[in-house]
Formats: sequence, C-alpha cells, structure tokens
Amino acid sequence: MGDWLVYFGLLDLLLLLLVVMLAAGLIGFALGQRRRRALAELLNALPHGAVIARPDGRVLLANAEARQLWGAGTFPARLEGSWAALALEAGNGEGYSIHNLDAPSGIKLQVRAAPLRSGPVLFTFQDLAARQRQEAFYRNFVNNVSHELKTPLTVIQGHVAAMGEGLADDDPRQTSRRIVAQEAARLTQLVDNLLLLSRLEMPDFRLDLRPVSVEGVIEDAILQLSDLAEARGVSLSLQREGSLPRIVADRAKLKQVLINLLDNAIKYNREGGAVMVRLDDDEQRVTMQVTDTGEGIPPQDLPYIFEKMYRVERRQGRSVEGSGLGLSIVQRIVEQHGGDISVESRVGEGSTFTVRLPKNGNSTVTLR
Amino acid sequence: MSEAMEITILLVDDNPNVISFVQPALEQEGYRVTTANDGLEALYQAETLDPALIVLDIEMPELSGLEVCRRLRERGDETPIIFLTVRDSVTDLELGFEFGADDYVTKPFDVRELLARIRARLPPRSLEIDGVLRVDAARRKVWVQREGEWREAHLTPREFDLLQHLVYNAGRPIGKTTLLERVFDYHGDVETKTVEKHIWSLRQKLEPDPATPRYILNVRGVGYKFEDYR
Repeated sequence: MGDWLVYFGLLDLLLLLLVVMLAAGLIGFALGQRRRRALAELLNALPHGAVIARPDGRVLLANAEARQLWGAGTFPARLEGSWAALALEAGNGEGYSIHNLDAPSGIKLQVRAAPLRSGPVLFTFQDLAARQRQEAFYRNFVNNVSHELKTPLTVIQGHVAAMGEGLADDDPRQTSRRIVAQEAARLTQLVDNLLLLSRLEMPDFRLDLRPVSVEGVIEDAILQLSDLAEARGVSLSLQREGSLPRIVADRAKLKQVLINLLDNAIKYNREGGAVMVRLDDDEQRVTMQVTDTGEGIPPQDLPYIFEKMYRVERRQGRSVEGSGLGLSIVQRIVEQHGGDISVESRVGEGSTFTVRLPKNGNSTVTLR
Repeated sequence: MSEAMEITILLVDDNPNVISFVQPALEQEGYRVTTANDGLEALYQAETLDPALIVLDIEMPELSGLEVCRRLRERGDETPIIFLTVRDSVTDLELGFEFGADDYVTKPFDVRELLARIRARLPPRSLEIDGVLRVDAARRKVWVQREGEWREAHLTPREFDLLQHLVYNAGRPIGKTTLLERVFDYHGDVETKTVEKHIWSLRQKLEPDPATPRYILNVRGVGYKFEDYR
C-alpha cells in the first residue's frame, strides 16, 4: 500500500479513480443505449401496440404500432388522463389488468397493463373493433362456405336419389347413379367434418347442454350406421350395464362422437367382424366403449391418431376413405364436455375406444 | 290415398333445383303442391291458398324464411311450418322455434326424412296397407283382414300411438329409447322393456304371423322399423 503512494500521489490516485468511473459510466451508457435499441426493435416487431412508461406517466418507449393506433404517427412523451391513472395504478399493483380505453385517434383499444419488475409499466394494446371484426369475418366465412357448399350438395343428392326410381337394379345407369350418390355422400361428410371442426375451434363456441339419454343417442347412432354395417358384413350390438343413464350434454355433438367412432370401427373391420358398444355408469361418470374386431392400430401410430389429418398407413387391404378429421372431432367434443378418451389396440385383434363423460356436464360450463 | 288429394303443401325455396326434386316426391305421396321462389310470393300464396303446411327455406335473399315465418305468425296464421336450412348452428334454429316454426330439416336432406316430418305435422289421415291393414287415424281405429274379412283390432291408446309413429316413419328405423321418449313421453329412468312389451302385443294383434313379423321389424336389437309399404 505504501509503495503505491510513493509512485502516485493521493491526488493522482483520486484522479485515476475518477477516470475509471467515467469510462465505466460511458460504457454502461453505451450498453444501456444498445439494450434500449434492442428493446425498441423487439417492441416494433410485435403485432400489437406496446408502450413502456414509468408509474409517473413518463413514456420511455413506444413502438410503431402504438404510434399508429394513437394517431398521426406520434406518441406523447407523457401520459395524461385515464392513461396516466392507469400507469400509476398498474405501477403500484401486481399482475396484469385489462381495460378498454380510447386513443386520441378515436380508436377503441383493449389495453393490457403489466408492471415490470424494474419499476416501469408495460402497456400492450390492440384495436378492439378490428379484433371483433376479424372474429365476425371468420364466423361469417364459415357460415357462407357452409351455405355455398351444402346448397349444390343438396341438389345433387336430391336428384340422384330421385333418378333411382323406376330404374331396374341391374340397369347400368343405376350403377352410375349409386356411384354419384356415394361420392356426394362422402363429400357431404367431408364438408360437415371441416365445418364442425372449425366451429368447435372458434373462441366463442358453446355446447348446447341439456339432459340427454345416452342409450338413446347410442341407439340412434347404431341405427344410422346399420346400412353401412350391413354392406360391410359387420354386426353391430349394444350392451348396457347398470342403470339407464341421463347426462347433461350436447345431444347432436354426442351423437357425432358415436357416429365417428362406429364409422371407423365398421370401416376398419373385417368381413364378418363385429362392433360392440358397451355402456356403463357409476355415480359420477358414464363410460362408453366401442370395440371392434378390425386390424388394430400399430403402436407407433397410437400416439398420433387424434391429430388432424393423421391417417394410419395400411400395409394390406383396400384403402379406407375418410377425411382424417373424425377422431380430432371426437376428442374435441369429449374434452368440451369435460370428459376424456383413451384407446387400446392390438394389431390383428382390434381396438377399443373408451369415452368417459361426467354426468353433470363440464362443471366449468354453465347450463344455458 | 284419396283423402290426401285435398291436402295442399306450399313449398318455398329460392333454388329451383331444390324444388324440382322435392315437388315430385311430395306429389307422389298424394299431396297437392304449390311453390314459391321467394319470401314475398310465399306470403301471398300462404294467404290466398291457405295450405295445410309450409315447407320453408330459411336462406333466401331479401325476405328470409325466418322473416316470412315471423310475419305469418304476426298476422295470426298458425299453419305448421317445416324449415329447410343449411345452418346447423343452434342459435338460428332456436330462433326458428321462437318465431313459431314447428320443425326443421338440415340440407342436404333425404326426401324420405322430409316426408316423415310432414306426415307427423299434418292432421292424421287414414291409410290401407297391402290390403291387410287399415288405419283410421281420425277415429283411432285399426282393422286387419283375415281370410277375406275385415276385423277390428282393438288397440290400447298407447299401442295406437306406437303404431302411428312407426307407420308415419315407415322405412326408417327408430330406436327404443326414442320411441319411449316420443310415444310414451318418458324421460325418466324407465326400461326400454316397456316398448318391447307393446311391440309384442301389437304384433299379436296385427301381424299375419307374429312369430315372423312382416310389418313391424326388429333392427339390430336396438330399434324397430315399419316395413316401407309404399
């Protein structure tokens, strides 16, 4: 320590310290500027308006979208009015909050205010009407597509059915007619599946919940598919254990679940095979099992069969027509009901799909 | 079938290609059919012709089927209405029932399905099946022909309702639980054996050979269907 003072005087040492501190400050400032630029760049890349402000209302950063929504491409240096109040409130609070505020441009904004750990508040916001417009567009789009596709299908199916009358069974025109009818039915099913899946995935989708007789739904599904089963030489049966359960559910959607499961069980079955539906219940839940004597699902495919458009590749036999959407729809509907679905399968022996549904409906969904 | 000639149905759809397959099917069934291509024409026809039933497309330009229905009900017209619609979203259909519609069929539909819905909504009519069975719906009586002689089969009211439901839906299988709900008006925990018992008794009274039924058939052990006699 003494040697230091021999070479440098006390004054020199203080001067040196000052220089070092100044350099550190400069470097720090430069780094801070870089961080700030990086942050600004990040915010500009966001699809929403984003603003960082201090609780006292001073604006530190505003991205391009924020300036756009605010109007005239600028953002004020200091927040005022309800925005300033929100900055103060959010800065003193914990967790985020959501508010509807007006921008000076007149645009109504949905604003999310979240305090940052370092002190300031992060506002993110979007045009409320634009978002609603987008959702409405999607809904209308699905409805229009539904109308535009189903109208010609109605005409085709109606006329094709009428053409069959008065034609002998062995008339070659009858064969052509049947092919058109089958293809139109297939197309209808595909359109139905696509529309149903898009409806199920809409944010405002709601089940139409009412008390439903599960056995009645299963009977209807079995009867609807009895022609297909007949054509494929597959037997269909229902075995009921326990009571006659009624549950709170969406009848049409529940029937769709059964139809899709039975349709697969029949189509992937062998000639002379069987499909059995088992219905059981306890205090809380209803269990429906669909068991087939088909070719089974290879273990490597099992984890993916509920994914959209996933089709198990068949090594032999005829290819089975289908959209690859059936099981996704099943899973989606079962989950909307607060239930679950599982599958067990052995290659060469068959598969069993098990659906469990709560009797009182999804507790997070309220009866309309 | 002669009584049916007096029944007029108003068929409304803006698509002539839909009318062109529905109209012949209704006429073949013995109904007199009048058509309209838009809502205003439908309102005019409904007033001047006083049809027994209206088959009404919902999705029509300008005046939609829902609006037509609303205006009819507003002026006190209680004619049964069956909607045709491509929309399967519940809200619209609930709207339909709020507006006072009686039933609906979603497009694409099987004409036989529409016919069954129409039969269920019209005042019951009498019919004769294969010269073996005669059903007088107005007086709720049934006759069976045995060895060239018509004899009345005495059905209980429930048996008659069950038979009528099956006959109206001839050719279409119906589940036991559905029959229990529709005919017996049962929504509680009641066994479907009730339906089985009534079916057994109906066969005893109506079938030429109850052991091998010709008209009231079993379907897959879960339902029944009346042989399509038409």
